[in-house]
Amino acid sequence: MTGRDAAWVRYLLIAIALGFLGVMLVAPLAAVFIEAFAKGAGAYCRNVTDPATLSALRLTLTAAAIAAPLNAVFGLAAAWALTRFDFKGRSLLITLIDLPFAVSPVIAGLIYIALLGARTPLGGWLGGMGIEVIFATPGIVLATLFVTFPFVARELIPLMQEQGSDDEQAAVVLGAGGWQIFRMVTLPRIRLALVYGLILANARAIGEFGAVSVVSGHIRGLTNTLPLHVEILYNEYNSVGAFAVASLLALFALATIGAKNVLEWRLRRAREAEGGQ
Amino acid sequence: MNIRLEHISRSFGGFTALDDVSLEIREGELVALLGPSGSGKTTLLRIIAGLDAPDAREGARIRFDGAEMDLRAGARQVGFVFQHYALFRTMTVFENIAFGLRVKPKRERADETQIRARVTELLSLIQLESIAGRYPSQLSGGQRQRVALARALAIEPRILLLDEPFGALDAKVRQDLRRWLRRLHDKMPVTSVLVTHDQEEALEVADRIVVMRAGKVEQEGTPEEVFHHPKTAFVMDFLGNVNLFHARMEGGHTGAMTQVRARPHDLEVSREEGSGSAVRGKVTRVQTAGAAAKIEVATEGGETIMVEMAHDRFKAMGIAAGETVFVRVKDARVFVEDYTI
Repeated sequence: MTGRDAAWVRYLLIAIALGFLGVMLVAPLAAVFIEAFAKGAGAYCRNVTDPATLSALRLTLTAAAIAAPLNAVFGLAAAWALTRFDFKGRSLLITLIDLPFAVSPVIAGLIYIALLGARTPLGGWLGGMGIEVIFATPGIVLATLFVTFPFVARELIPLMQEQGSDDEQAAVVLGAGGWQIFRMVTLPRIRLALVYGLILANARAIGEFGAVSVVSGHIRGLTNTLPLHVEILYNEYNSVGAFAVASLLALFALATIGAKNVLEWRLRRAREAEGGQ
Repeated sequence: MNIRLEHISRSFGGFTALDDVSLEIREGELVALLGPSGSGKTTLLRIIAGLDAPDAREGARIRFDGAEMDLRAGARQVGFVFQHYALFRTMTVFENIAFGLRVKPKRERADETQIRARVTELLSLIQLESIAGRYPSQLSGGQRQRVALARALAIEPRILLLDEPFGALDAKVRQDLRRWLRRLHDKMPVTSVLVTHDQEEALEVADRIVVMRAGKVEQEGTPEEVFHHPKTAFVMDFLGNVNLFHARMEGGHTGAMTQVRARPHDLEVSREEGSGSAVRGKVTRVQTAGAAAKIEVATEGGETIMVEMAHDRFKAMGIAAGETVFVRVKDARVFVEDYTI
């Protein structure tokens, strides 16, 4: 193919890609902000600082903040086990890690109701001790955990597989203990991928609707997360309010994309620096 | 340190990597474990290091200076140089070498000044003082290899284990490094075991060679012994080029066919048939680039014979491709129990 022949093909492909992005992503995003500011900046501020909105924001961030460290721990443990050891049930575990991606989030929510609802033995027992799970914050955290837990593991597994265990074995022979090896050898090599996985998990945690919707109970100011709050406002014909809250979610998304890009750039640079090895 | 391996076996699923191997490595020796891939040499090295354990069998023992060794790898005080270096890529050359000193338990750990002094000393030993601050990715293959060696030496190992240390380097660097390693060993005679599949490397570097095949020790001895007095056809084939002749035995076993092996330099080429048995053939190729002149002779039976001779003799004879010559065997070997490849 000559350079000139390629030119129109290239422009056509770029035009299609940009056109698609514009119609499917940029326009809706712009619409969110236009609708949110439809009644002026004052109304926007009132909607965003409404107590119910702030409570939803608090709950969303709480759930995400609890899910993130647990995801990091689980992801590291799973990736370590799957890439450093060969054991019975290894492939089963790899399949199970993907389960939350495969099932509908609504089912994830229903699973917890079936398991921990007030009328189930486990839920009744917890209720007897004064711990409410379903229709309360713990249920929302559990549902968020379920839908986000594959992200970190899936980032780490291919990377650690590729890196192999030679470095760790070298550290073992040099007399390092398990914790020293993890801290000095393993973690520095997977740090960026770990953060990357956490960013993705975090985005999902903030945006999750289905699973959380089932276990939430929709108690305004108490068990509503931001996405649930958007739906309620919209169903109450308060579309400006709904879009104002939605704009918060959109801002989170933009921040996530920004962080992801910075990290991707740093990951690429780190890979290039390691090139020869 | 003296190392004794007694009745070591190791199998992975259905594959037997080591089959009842017993071996002694003497204080201050540099031993090469030589064999094709799959012969078990790396497995043996990893078992000495404690990175792998032998199958639990009656009498299976590893002894360091006579005492049975059952410590975990980190407590054995072993230096291990990995085939692909396994340098810590997020650390500088300096920190790589210092690693073994820094991870010691607090009671045994040297202070920062002592660590710096020790690392500097090792850097000068590997002649890389100027690049202490670089990262492994910024080094050449040969430099990485030397850093890996310095890192292994930092913990003052009682034994140094090297797994195909020059395998990933180009021929020239490889040769320089193995001479350097030999000189280093003469200066600092740490008991060392080197795994290699390169017979030239083993012959040049080692005090003693252990030839391995299919999980067993085929022969052990000095480079001279294994090269000039191979006990089996396998050892002879593995340690250099070999011409195979099918000959009829005379005397006792009249009529029986047997295989005779001769190295290319143990053959003689002449233009006259002369007395005694000689094989007649046609020169098909002459190659003079290299340490010796190499001549390929096609026999009437359709076999190809490789002959090596000194350049001055080659010049004096003036052999050219297409000529008819006679090849006579000066020295050859017959092995009773032959093997199949």
